[in-house]
Amino acid sequence: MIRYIGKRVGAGAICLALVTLFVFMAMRLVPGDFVTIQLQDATGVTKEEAEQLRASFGLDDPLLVQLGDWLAGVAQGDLGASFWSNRPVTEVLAERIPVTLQVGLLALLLAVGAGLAFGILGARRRGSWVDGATRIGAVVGLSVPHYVTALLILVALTNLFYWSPPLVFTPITENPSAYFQQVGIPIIALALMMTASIARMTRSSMLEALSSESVRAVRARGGTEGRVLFVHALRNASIPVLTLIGLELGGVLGGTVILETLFNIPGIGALTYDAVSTRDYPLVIVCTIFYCIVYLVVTLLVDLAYAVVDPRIRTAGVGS
Amino acid sequence: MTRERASTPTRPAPDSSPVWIRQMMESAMPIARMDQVTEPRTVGRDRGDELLEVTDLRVAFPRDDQRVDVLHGVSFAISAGETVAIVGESGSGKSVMALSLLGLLGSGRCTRGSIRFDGRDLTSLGGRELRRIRGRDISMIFQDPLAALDPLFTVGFQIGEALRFGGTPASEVRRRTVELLRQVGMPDPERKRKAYPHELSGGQRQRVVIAIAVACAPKLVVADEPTTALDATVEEQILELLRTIQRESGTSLLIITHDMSVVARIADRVVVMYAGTIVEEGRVEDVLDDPRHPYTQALIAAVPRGDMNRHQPVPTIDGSLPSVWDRPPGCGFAPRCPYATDQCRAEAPPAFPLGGGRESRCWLEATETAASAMERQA
Amino acid sequence: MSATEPILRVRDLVKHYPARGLPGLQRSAKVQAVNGISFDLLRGTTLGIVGESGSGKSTTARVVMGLTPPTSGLVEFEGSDITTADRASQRRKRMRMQMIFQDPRGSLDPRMRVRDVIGEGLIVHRLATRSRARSRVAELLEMVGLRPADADKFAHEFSGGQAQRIAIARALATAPDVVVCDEAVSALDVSVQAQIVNLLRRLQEDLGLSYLFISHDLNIVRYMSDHLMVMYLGQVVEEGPSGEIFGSPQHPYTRALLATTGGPTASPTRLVGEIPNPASPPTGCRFHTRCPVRIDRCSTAEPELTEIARGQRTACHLVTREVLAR
Repeated sequence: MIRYIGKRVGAGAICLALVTLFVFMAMRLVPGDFVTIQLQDATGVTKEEAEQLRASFGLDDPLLVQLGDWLAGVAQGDLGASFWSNRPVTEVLAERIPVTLQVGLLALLLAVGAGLAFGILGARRRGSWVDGATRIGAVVGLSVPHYVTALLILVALTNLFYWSPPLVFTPITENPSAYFQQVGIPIIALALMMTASIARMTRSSMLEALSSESVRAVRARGGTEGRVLFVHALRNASIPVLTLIGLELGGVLGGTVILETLFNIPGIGALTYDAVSTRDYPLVIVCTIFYCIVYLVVTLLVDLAYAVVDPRIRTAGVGS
Repeated sequence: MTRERASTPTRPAPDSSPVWIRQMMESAMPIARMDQVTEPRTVGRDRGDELLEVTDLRVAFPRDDQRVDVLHGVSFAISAGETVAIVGESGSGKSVMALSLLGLLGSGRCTRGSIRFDGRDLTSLGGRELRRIRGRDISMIFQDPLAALDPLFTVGFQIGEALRFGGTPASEVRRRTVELLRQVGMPDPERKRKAYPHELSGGQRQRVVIAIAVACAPKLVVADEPTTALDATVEEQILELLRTIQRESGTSLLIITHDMSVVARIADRVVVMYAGTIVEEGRVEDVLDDPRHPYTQALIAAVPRGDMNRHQPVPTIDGSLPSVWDRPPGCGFAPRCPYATDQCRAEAPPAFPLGGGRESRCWLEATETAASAMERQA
Repeated sequence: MSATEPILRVRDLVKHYPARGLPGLQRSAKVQAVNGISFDLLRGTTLGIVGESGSGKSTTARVVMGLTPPTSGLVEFEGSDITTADRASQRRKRMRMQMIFQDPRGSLDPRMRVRDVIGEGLIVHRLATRSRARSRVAELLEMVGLRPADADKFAHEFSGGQAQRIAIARALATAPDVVVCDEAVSALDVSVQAQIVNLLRRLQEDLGLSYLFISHDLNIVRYMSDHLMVMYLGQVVEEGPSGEIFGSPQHPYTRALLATTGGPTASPTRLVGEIPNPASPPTGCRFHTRCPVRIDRCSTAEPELTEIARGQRTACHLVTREVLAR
């Protein structure tokens, strides 16, 4: 088990390095850099001054030199400073990470809860209106992009109730009401996306489990329907759903970028958006590293969860 | 088996039953059979105190907005302590018969008839009452032990479930579980209790399934093809286990199988099914020695035996087994029967009693006069 | 009508698989599926291979057919070694050896029409043009008891027995000399089994086929085969003319197997335990852990196949000792 985790961490580190390298290069290949974008509309700056400014950020050095400099910095524990604010990137990250994690986790919890509930209901009452409504809802949820959903909800609420969400962020500890008013719609939009696919997968997985021979055997020994459903069928059905949750998380992460920007939530998503727009390379790199690590950790946790749920995987060795 | 179409149906001279059958029954359980000799068991449906009595049972399944009958009026009975085998091929309805006893038909429904068990009609019971009977009074052994056990839980947990559903107090469960495992011949029962199904061999898994079935000492155990998924030598062990359990606890056993040799080795009475009806029933020795229904004869003859001349073809009948869904009027076997007449094709034959608990559902029996029928009985 | 030269010769065939991911084993353990077997298949006859799960009979079939290479050993078809032959001659040999599988529907591609299923071999081996193939397919369908009109249907429209007939027609398309039947009737109902067995016998007589008939069903094997090989855990424990073996089985395992069909037996025949793991077989005689009549020698020394009577050979210390004593 320890060996397995070690192997995964090692592979993950390689993956992280490759991703970082790729983004490092790609960003610099995109036209425009920090200085040119900032000075786009400025009129009183001469070419020489612009060049000097660029040099001060190290933007005129060859690609490999920039890479070397950055890596040298990393080796000493310095990940660089934001071009924009000149603050160390780690500091910026530290204040943004909790916000996104909160939003993401809330969305995930909501989605898993609703998805499982609808999936189980749909499987139990197959063919009923609940089932039909769930399936249609799922297709809608999957087809409509999360930002469209969010905007639709926003538009509806503002027009119907003459209400708009606050645009200044208050942490949940200070004022829960204001917090939820601001993050409510993004959370719902993110959750809707995931609920749809979780519900579909849960439904089909549960249907299969409920008609399996082992579930029939539980009934034959006198088990109640509740036990059949929640102890046996659900556990057997959960394995493909676990995989799905791991995959869906990628969507959530991507979703935070646009939604945070739209709703002015100061999280990593918004940070990434801003950083890319302004070509704030140090910030971009560090945001990338963050997303990459989250992905790797989540997939590792999902694989470990399999081993917890399914003893066959435990015996054969996780990952075999 | 010659296939002459006579104008009136005539019975061919009864084939002397293959020697193997007598030998098998003799070698199967010599000691136990001696017990039976001292306690003659009256077999027949005339007694009112059978453990299980199925009367004119019809079961239908939904198909494209219609209900299609899968069992067409099945009637038989099992006494306490008896082993009855239901034998048939695909489409005979034997598995549906077994599942209907436990109320596990899924989308199927009993549209007519009754299943009287211990004085109550199972077809009229609600979910909750059926649940109390399952595992406690009637239990089931499934065909594929790997599929019948939940792969995510230990075998001890699943046996424990059976015990707890049956009312065993929690403090007793662990001890009883180990005891049951020992009773079904599982080596090292304490450790095996914590094993998962995929860690055991096929025979061991089936022993666990049997342990679950007998956990609460039910009055009737229904075994659906209990040895089909097992190797021949393991099959022998499992059949021996079932025989022992049946002998020691006096439980009745209903075995569903397609294999006549299993019938010969373990059953007291046999019921032959084809296309959703019972075509013949009676004591195993009688039916295997002198099969009356043409289908029973064909089924027995279809397995090549040692005393067969290898250069002759195996006796067989043309055609395929009927689909459960479309069934012709009249006798279900008529399309393939070498002795079928117009009457057979038009009208389903009733069950003709042949004495000694024997019955055959075939118009051939109608041509026997009462006198020759009595002669046969003697 | 048996020729003197066997059409198929197998000598000291060994097939081991690496045992990856099995519980309770070291990395270097190997699954010893087949551990040194030898046999001859005479032209026009049927060699029955009998055994339970883990006996290695299916693996033997696959190696003989060339579906997987042997770890060591010789497989000769009509005198030439097919394991070391080049691709072209292997292909030619493939045409002459065909196989029928256990699950009739599983072995037919559900997306192909019957005429494509049967005709595929003809096309692949360039035995017929597409137009010639049609008439050949019709011929084959009639040979197996189906109608030429069935060629346009899909495999799933047929019952199990009919699907197996299609599989047989497919096997016969390339006019093989040897047909390997791997549990070809085990998945069929009893009455349908009889039909297919009759068909196989008739085809053998009409076409002069040689069968390697693998089964766990002793009754069918007894009827079908001229010679018999009883396998246990990758080795042959008894072999010879099937009439002799069924009439007087010598090896304790054979006797236990036969006892399950209710044939004539003498006690004790009931076995204890189950087949051991092929990756860690018992020492000495592989059967000794379950044998009701084992002696000391059995756990230390592997018995050799010894001739005990008229072409019947058994690998058992006890039997050998008795024979020598006579």
